[in-house]
Amino acid sequence: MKRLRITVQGIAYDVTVEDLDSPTVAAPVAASPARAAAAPAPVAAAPAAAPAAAPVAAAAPAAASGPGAVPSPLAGTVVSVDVSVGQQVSAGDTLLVLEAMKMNTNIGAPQDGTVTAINVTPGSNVTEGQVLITLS
Amino acid sequence: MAISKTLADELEKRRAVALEGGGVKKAEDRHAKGRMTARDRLASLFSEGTFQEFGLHAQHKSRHFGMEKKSIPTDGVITGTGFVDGRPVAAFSQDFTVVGGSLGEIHSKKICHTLDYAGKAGIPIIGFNDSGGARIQEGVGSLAAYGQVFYRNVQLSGVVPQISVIAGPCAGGAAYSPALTDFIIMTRENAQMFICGPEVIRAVTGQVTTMDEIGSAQAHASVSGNIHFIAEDDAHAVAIAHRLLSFLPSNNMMDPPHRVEPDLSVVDDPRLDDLVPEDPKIPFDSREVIKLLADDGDFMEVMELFAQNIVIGFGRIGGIVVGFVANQPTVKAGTLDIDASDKAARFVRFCNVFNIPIVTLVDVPGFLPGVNEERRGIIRHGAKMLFAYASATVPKITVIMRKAYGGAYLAMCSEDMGADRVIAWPTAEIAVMGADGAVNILYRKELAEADDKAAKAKELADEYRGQFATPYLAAGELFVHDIIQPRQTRSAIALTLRGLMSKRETRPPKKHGNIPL
Repeated sequence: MKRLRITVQGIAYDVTVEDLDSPTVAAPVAASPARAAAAPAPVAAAPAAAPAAAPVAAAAPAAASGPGAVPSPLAGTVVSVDVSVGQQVSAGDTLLVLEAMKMNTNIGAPQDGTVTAINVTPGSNVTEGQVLITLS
Repeated sequence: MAISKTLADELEKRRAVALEGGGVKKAEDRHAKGRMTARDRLASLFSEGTFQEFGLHAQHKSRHFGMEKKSIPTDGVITGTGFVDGRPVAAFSQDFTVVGGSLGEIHSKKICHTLDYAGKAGIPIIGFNDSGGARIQEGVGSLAAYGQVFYRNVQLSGVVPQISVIAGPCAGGAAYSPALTDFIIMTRENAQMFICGPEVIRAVTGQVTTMDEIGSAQAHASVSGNIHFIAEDDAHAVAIAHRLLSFLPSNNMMDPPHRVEPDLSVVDDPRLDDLVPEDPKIPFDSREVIKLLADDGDFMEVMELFAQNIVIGFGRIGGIVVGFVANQPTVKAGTLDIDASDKAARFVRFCNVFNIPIVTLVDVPGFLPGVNEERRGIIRHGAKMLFAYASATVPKITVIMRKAYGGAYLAMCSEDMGADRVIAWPTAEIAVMGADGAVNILYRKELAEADDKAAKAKELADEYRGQFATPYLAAGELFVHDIIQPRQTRSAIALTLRGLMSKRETRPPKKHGNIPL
């Protein structure tokens, strides 16, 4: 995790940068480089063995938003927030309602959990991928 | 007088060895894990006693790396024909218990023969993929052997339905044979499909990933869009193939298996009226609409988890097999985006090539706005929908349920794209763009001069809505052929389909069109 300041046309932005591809994120599996290099042949004969050698610690691609983050599927305006912090929810429960493209979109809980953070209020404009709510 | 016992025994001996494949122990290990062997898969696919094998006595001819001393029963793949629901079907099933199901020249020849046979006979082909990949001992010959299979997959495309089942590893170039077929069914566990695995990806790029993330059925069904169905196990995969076949013709010169009764029931279904929310902003699940339209609510959804803003699949209406394409307002407001366009366009082309009428259910506010969509090429992807619909000559029926805005209205098989019948519900809104956006452009000057801008904008938007957010203007100009109550929809489609079974429409001769890919 690195904090950086970027200045664009005279305006300074403080940003936090996380290197997701850093080898320290995952414990490297002792994969023989020779074998790995042999496999890219268009029709590899070895892949049967590959699943067993899958990396142990995977850096989730969604790590930027963290586990339990509920991102907005599309840009829109928040109509209502139907839960409060601390509330227990089950998968599929409506967390909030967005209005976008002349339609209300119910944002459901992707999994069971407790609401730990609500980042928007009714009337907020949100962008695609923005984290709306975080579940534990 | 009778056949020589020696000769008869010799055959039985050879049969027994070949039928055993990789041996009893390996088969038992598979069964213990709840998995089927290659032969089990074919046995469960075909009606009992109908399987006729091709190439049981096949032998490889490799002379390298000590292979000349090795016998490989069936050369690692079982091929042949049999019957499913009384209809002939060809199939091959790779046997992982025999040299890892690796593909060598004879192995490939057997698959190619089966594909050729399916083409000549005009019957569907189903391939069970469970192979470690190319047989390295056979060198470039095994690569060419893949090429032979790919070439035939392409020649058969649009001639007979091709279904792939991924029931084990299917990696590197091997993954391209299934990718060239019409439908891919993949088992949730024990199956992987990828071009470069996690180890290669990490060695070359440093990216850390897992097989689940890039090669699992879940990833392919929901993220990459490479597969069409997830099966819970081998038996379920076969069940999906059976169900799929029940909607498909045996080849492109035949009609799909319609189940038409002499009498057609035309009864209103008030449940459809109840399904439509009063407020146009409240979404409804278009799957529910399809289930009410399809005979017995029997709808086989295809690519259920991918690009869920559009719903596609097979069903029957009044006995006639149809392909449904429906916007899904509950997901991304039912907008069309890149993935949804790809998904729907390919389905429309499948239906067209196999003579399956298309029923399009429209509730689309437009194409999804976004920098990502524009930069990734929504123009060329969205164009696929226009191309697919405009080039389809099968009966095309379009029901405009609610929103039909802008280019997306055209992309959902409007009258201008050659829809044979366009019907709209009273809730339909057909316009170039939504009221608020349109008013901002049409009345920019008036709004700038108005004392109360918001009030003026609302007034103008309401006026616009009253005029354009209805089906009557479009019906007045004949873009909509009739306006019906939702409850009349099933009867209307069934009647139209009956009347379109003899539809014929020809196009100028050409090699093929140039669909934007």
